[in-house]
Amino acid sequence: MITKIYKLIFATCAICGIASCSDFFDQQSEHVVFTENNKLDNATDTIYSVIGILNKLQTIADRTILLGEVRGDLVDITNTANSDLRDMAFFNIGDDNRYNQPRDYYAIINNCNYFIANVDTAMKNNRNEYVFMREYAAVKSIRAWTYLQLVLNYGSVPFVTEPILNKADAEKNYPKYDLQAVCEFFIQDLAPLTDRWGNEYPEYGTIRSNASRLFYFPLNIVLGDLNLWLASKTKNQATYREAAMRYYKYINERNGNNSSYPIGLGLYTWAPGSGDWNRPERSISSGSLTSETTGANAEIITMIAGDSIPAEGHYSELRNLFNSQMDNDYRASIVPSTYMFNLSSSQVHCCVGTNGTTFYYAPAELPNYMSGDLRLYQYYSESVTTDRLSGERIETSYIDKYTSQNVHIYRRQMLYLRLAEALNGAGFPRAAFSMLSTGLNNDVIRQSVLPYCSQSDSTWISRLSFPRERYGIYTVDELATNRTEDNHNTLGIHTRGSGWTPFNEYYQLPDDSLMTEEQKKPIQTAFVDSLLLNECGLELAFEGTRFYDIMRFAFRQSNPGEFLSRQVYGRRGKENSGIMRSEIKKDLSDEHNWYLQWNGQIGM
Amino acid sequence: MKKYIILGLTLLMAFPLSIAAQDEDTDSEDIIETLARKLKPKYKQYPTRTIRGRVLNATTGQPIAGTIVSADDVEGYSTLTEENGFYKLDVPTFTTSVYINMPDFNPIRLGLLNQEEQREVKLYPVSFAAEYDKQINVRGDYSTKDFAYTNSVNIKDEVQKHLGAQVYSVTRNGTPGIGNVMFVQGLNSLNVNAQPLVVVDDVIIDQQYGRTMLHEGFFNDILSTLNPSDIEKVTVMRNGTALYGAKGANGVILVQTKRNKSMATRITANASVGVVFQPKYLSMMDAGQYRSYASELLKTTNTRNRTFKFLNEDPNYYYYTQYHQNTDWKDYVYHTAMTQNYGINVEGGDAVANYSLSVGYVNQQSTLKYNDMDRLNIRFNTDISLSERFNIRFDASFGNITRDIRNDGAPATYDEGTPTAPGFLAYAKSPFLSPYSFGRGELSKTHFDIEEESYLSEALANYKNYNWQLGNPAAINEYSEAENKNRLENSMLNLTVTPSYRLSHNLTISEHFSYNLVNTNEIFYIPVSGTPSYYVSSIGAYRDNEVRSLASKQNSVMSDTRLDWSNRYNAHFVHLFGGARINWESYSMTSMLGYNTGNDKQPFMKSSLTNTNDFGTSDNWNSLAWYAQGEYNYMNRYFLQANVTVEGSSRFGRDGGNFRMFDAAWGVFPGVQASWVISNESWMAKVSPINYLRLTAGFDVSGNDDIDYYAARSFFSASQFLNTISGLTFAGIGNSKIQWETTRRFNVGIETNLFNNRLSLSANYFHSNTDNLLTSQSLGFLSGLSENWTNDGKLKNQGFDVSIGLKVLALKNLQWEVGGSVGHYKNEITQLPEGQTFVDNDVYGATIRTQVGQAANLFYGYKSLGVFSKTEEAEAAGLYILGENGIDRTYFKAGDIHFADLNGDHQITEADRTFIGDPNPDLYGNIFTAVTYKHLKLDLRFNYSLGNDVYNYQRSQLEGGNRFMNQTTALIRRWQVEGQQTDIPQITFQDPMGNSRFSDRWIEDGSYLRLKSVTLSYDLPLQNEYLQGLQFWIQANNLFTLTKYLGSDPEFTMTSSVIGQGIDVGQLSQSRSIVAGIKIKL
Repeated sequence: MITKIYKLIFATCAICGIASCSDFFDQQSEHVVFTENNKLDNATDTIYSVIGILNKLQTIADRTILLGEVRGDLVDITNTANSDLRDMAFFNIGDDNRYNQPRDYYAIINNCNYFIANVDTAMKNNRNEYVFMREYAAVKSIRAWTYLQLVLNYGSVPFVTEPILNKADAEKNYPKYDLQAVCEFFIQDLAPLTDRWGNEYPEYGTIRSNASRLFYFPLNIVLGDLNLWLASKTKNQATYREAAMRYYKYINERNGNNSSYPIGLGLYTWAPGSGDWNRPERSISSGSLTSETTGANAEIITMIAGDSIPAEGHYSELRNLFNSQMDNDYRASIVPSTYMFNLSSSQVHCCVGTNGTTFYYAPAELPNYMSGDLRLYQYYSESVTTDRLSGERIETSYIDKYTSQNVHIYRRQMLYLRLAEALNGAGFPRAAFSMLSTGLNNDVIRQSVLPYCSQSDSTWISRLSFPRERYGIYTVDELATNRTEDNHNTLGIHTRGSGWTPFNEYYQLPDDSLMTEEQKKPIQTAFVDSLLLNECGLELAFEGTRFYDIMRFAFRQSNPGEFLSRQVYGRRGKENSGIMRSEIKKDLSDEHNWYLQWNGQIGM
Repeated sequence: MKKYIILGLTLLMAFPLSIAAQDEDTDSEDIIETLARKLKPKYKQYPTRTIRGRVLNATTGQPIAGTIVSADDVEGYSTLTEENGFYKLDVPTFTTSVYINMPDFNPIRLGLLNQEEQREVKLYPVSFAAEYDKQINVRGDYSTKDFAYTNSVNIKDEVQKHLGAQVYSVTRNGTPGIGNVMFVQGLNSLNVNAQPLVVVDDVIIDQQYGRTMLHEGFFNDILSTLNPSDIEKVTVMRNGTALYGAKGANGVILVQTKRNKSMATRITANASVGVVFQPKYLSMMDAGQYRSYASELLKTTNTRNRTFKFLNEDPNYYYYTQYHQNTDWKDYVYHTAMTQNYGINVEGGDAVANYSLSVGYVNQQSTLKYNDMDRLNIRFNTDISLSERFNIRFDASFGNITRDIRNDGAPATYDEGTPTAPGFLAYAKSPFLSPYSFGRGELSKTHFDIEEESYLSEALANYKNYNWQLGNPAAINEYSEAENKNRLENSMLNLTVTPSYRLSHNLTISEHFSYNLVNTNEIFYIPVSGTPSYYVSSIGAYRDNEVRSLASKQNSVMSDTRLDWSNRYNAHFVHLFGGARINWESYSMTSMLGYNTGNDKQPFMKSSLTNTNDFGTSDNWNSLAWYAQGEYNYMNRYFLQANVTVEGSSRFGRDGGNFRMFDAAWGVFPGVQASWVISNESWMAKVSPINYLRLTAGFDVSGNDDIDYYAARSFFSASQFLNTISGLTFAGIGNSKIQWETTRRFNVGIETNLFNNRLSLSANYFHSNTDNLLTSQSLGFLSGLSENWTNDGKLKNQGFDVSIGLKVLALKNLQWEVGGSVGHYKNEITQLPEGQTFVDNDVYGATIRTQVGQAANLFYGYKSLGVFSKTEEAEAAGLYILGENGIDRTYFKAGDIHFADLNGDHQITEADRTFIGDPNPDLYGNIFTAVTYKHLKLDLRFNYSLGNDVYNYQRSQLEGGNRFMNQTTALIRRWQVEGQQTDIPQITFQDPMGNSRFSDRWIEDGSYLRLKSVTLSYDLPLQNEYLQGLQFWIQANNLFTLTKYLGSDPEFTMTSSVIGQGIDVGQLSQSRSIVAGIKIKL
């Protein structure tokens, strides 16, 4: 009897036992994709993954701008600003600060790492073209840019390039990389891709009326940045040259062979010959800084797309922070700083007579920020409004750079300014200065750069080619008479806001004839460097690069801490730097205090 | 359609089919036993001894003839009492008790003396509650049956009425069939489901506790699809839950449906109709009081206007009529509701097949208009004997509920829309407005006002994106009403086949196969007409209306293969069973929403709507449990029951578990329960006051497998990039060690019947520890994700319940019984994940703090010390709040609430919060009494809960004094002048000082005692060939409630989860009802 029972039990167990293997418990889902099933070996999965990475990038869009701008010297915050933003402005960022969440950077990085580790790069289609290499290059570039952002903000970051798929891996001690190590790694990582994939992007067409081409980070620009940061740290001329070469490559190759990507003729100045200081006249269409197009002369190169409503998940708040809007009851949180106003008004604006040969200077102390450089006047305005019912006075403030729901990362003038910065560091202050003053093409190089170059320098700089046919220099006659010759498309960046710079006697390269070229060069380099920092302020104000720009310039100084702290403490004007120093909780002359920290796990 | 069903049922009842109705019989379980057992028992012969005794009627003292007296543990030894009540019976020598039963009387168990002459037995009529079950209650289960006099839609209601101390049960709200929330032996989980497992006829029915529904304030209780009148018995299983392995930790509710028990064909028809009266209402301000409130509140807005249409008191003014009504909006929203309940049951059979077929129809109106439900039930249970050895049970049932449905309760926020719950609007809407439209200087008598409220337009023009306009609840109801607007349909289909084969007299193999399908469809619609356009902050724009739809389907397949063996070896009885239970579950849901349908004529969900969005889930899971149970008893005195379940589940991580086998993780759940029936000891049988005494103790390990479906594996999920295309990103890092929560529960109990069974008493104590709480843990930031699921944290529960029943009067024509029960649990968190000392959750503006050393779900907020009556007082306190920018200080002034500054820094911040309430009751239970006079019976049942705190969220909205909503009359006491002593602060638009923040102002004592039901029933004495029985009954529910609670009803719950108990969001409250019914037996 008992044996019978055993047999029965055994038989039942055997039947059910078949079901009890692991397959029985392996559930599939239509709702999610389990890791082991995301093989990244077919086009659909791969595209979804790239889109997913772009989706994750949206999370850090706002803070990329805010961390770069609010900690700098060009803006100040108002009483409306939330405390997280206030703490940021005063370098007092705690672990709970919404802008201090390194996890979000690693969310991008981990998705990139997974993609890079798993995508089938060898796969070719039936036309023998690589199927995923464009995506692969784009993702590698996003990862490099993200790490660069991370290390710029945190100073020293756990470095991981393999996907993290479990909790144990997430809590391992990875080596900490500083800026230099990050730059070196990614220069190595990206360099092999540029020749073939430097200008190719995944083609996903238009996504909700945004050209998807704008969602990528061009390899050459990212490489240029990595080299420029590395050079600023190591002060290595060859690295500067590599940086310059990378920016140049982008410019030269962006629109294909024998095409150009010139600086453009956007400028804002007083009407030639006029003495009417009431309203400056835009003599040539400035070319919108914010137009999100993809044409050959498009200004925006890269942007992080934002959603149109908060419910969609990635809604950029920048418009509501930088502008008076209905949504913020017309109370902006971020306004230009005293330093910004001073910087702009301290420029000397060189006006041109109608004959194109006489020149004179606009007076100082014009109202509405019209003194000096006119770019601030062009994109900044303020006003006062009275609440219709309560009668309360509201000071409104508008920065026209923030009109889009998308967050702009790279644009053309930024690229040229970085090229100038790289050239200056590479031993070509004259070339760099020309870019600010007259604009750069091969004629300018031949006349203003090569005569002062050594043989080897000449050989190197000649590799940058801006032929006259494609890069025509705008002339003063054209400005005076308000006409444009067909192929003239280049001018000095300073001319964009401070009048005709080549004639501006206050804007000249120091050129002491008593010194040798070798003696002049360090003086000129330092001079151009400071012009460049100011130009970055004038041109790129409020666009989220300022703090990083100051950092990069500081690295090149003998005492970076002293330089950066002076700059930041001067936010409310030199006379108030004592107050600023006491309000900012950190001693910025110590480089460690430039960086964020988070829960003791990241940061210096 | 429904009309015809009702008509059909009525006809059925009016013209009884000429089925030869046979003898009306008792529900005696002995008859079932003999019917079921087709295989002729081969009774073993044991050495016997003779016992004799006498059975008397307890009410008359007269002997009872024909009583069955049988050996308690062995079949084949029984006899009948003679005319004089005497019996003589030879029982095996090891028999220690006899079971005595007689139709119309409650059975009794008698412990035997060593001598031949036994104690006299008195039987009580069935008008008393029965004390004894056929089986010795080894596990200390509590069950309830006989739901003859009720129109309950959901069986949980009856469980609360009868077993209120054994389960802490809270009715969700007053909506018909909404169900209850139940906690068995404390709060056994923190973050996942803590509700008991529901097993209907041995089939586990997933209750979809955590699933999303569209309408606020509504919960779709799956058990509502089951008709209580089809239910034979409900058992609350608290011990021995190890048998249900990883699913048993929250206790088990065993539901057993009716099966045929006799060869007689019986037809039973039920009909009842009832009236539900309107609930108790809050006392709201009238038109004049609200006008004054609104005009005062306007002064705290930024408006400089001082003339408003609604404040113009000139009766000749054109708009005077429009703004000088005195509308009681409740008249348009509530009504006195009708309920009807019909059922017919036919059962019968022969030696081969037995069946029970029932059809039921319920229609219950809600006192909140347009919240009515209909339910249709069909159940067909059969038992078929194909041969002596081979039996099949085949059951099929279908239940379908349709509901008209609306949002209910105060909104959690006003940022995502405007309140649309008619019940809430009926309180909040300005009483000086009319529901009817105003034009040409007069009010329409027929057309509802569908214009947007405009009396504050000039004043609040500057408050952008602020939803201040309230909809017209009467118009909302009207324009929300259509088959395709606000409806819910829920159906459950169950098919069960259970073949069993008797291999030998002792051994049976059976397979229980069940297929269960639960379908739910819900449509949600906010009409254009009647609602103002409202700002939706997540969209950042104004929208006119909204439509949502949801469809879900759950397929469940279960297979339970079992071997059952039992045998007796003289005084030793052994019963073993074991098998494998496999559950396949699959749930899928899709839901869509969109805004701006344009008009109310086309309320459809379509892609052309604004901001359309869809989401869904598709969860598949399965589990396999090997289980075995052994029962042993020696001489019916010592009982031992031990069981073990080994369970694996797709929801477990692959690397976790107690052990790994077949490449999967398995959990082991053992349990043991021992009982000692002391009254079956001959020495105790001598002690005459004690008729029965049983001690029980046990220990169980059971689990809670409500693990997130994706917790065990790493996965990517899709999200929308630019709301256009899908992007795939890492969304979860799997915890391959994730497993069930483990509850180890120790119990001890006593059950006794004393003084000739006049007094029965039972008491139980339990102590349980739950560890491996399912919780989220933080993930290293390098993963890019913030958390995943893990097992961490511990809690414990202990508690008791005591039940007592006393037969006060047992006379021939008059019987009176009283009883009561009291339950208690104490929950304590002993460890939180990752060494945290507390975890906070925000629910309806409340902070629910879970802190080590405290119960899981305490209210954590500010303490208030009254209202600053004078400026000097406020200045002396010097309290302030800090602006969002971290700089501006705003000081509390006269008229503001004086919040306790606990840390003494003068700044009122989160640091000044403390524990201000505990939603867990100290004591809860029932009190009942029943008086029977001849055929008339009056039965009263109370339930109560003591010491539970309530967060009255609805009151915080209606006494917050910061919005343009009508407020309760308490606001008449509001602070208005310097020096005024009051408990209500000044009113301030948008409450910049946070006077209405979550504080002890909104915490109240929710204790109550409620007369849950009063039933008067009459059993018509009949001697008719065709009519076997006719009963009339009338029942009043919720006749009165003693409570200090300020809300309309102290009993409610808005969630089945542990976090969030005791929050009153003002859903429809329960109210008085009267039902009259008739039951006909043919």
